[in-house]
Amino acid sequence: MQSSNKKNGDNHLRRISYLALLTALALVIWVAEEFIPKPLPWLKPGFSYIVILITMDMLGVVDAFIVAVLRVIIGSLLFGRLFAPSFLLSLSGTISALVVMSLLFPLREKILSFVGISIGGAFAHIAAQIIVAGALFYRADAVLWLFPPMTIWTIVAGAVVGSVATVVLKKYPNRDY
Amino acid sequence: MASKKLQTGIEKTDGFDFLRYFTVRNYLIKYFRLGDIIIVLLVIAIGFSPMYLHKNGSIKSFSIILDSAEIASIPADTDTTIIVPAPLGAVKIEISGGRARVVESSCPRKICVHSGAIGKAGQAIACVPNKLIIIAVGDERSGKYDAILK
Repeated sequence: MQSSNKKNGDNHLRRISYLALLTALALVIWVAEEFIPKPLPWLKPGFSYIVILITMDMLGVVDAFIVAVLRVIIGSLLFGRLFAPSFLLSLSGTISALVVMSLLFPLREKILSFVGISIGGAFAHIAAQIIVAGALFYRADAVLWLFPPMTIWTIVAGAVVGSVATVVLKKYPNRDY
Repeated sequence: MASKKLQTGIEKTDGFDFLRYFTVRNYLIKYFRLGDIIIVLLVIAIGFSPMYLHKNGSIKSFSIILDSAEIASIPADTDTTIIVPAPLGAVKIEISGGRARVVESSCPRKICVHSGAIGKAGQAIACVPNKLIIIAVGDERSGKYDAILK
């Protein structure tokens, strides 16, 4: 995947410009989501994962990782909470979601669709956040009660995100960027 | 009409066709695979397991402490009635169904009797005139905290 990118300079340039565009798109959605009114601060739908799923399909797993981590770092910088506890929560959730999604990604179109990948990633995100929150604030057994309601939320949000990604990739099946 | 459109019009979409013939059945056929259902079931299984783990973190035994020394530790699943020889006279403690309470006491104000039954880790009944404490002891994970303030 990486070696084929460096076959010629043109492809390399395209990859970089696509990465910049997709990072900007994911960042805008991530920041805009912060302003949606919601009953609990961490009950986000996670629409920026649409862009990350599209990146995964277009450019590969490594580039999806780059987009996801850059989105969290630059977004936290914009809100002025880089290296704050909420930044650590976002980063740990993102990294574990990306790990689960890249493990599930090779199975797509055989036994999985983007809906399954997205639900798995959403649950990994939330699970890592809950565990890190419990470790940070020393409230391990209090935080465990968040798991059942958040599980239902991850299934709903993950299904929506995965469906939207499928629709977008059907409209623009641009695999040979 | 909708089905006709699904059969013929699926080749040449104008980008927003998916909104026109969007039904739950089409959605499931187009977007779902068998693995997705497995993922959903797996996520539900993992997500709801902490509830059951949490329930197991209940009490192990009742510790009876008289004058700063533990005189007895009774497993929570036994049903007994014991009489403790306290400084002011006998104190009758009943343990049944995983809960402990003081039935009769020789103390003047009977606060220990009126405090009722205890059954959760960390709860306690104290009888100050008799220098008697009954504590519900949990496993190690629950015992990490003395108290949680809300």
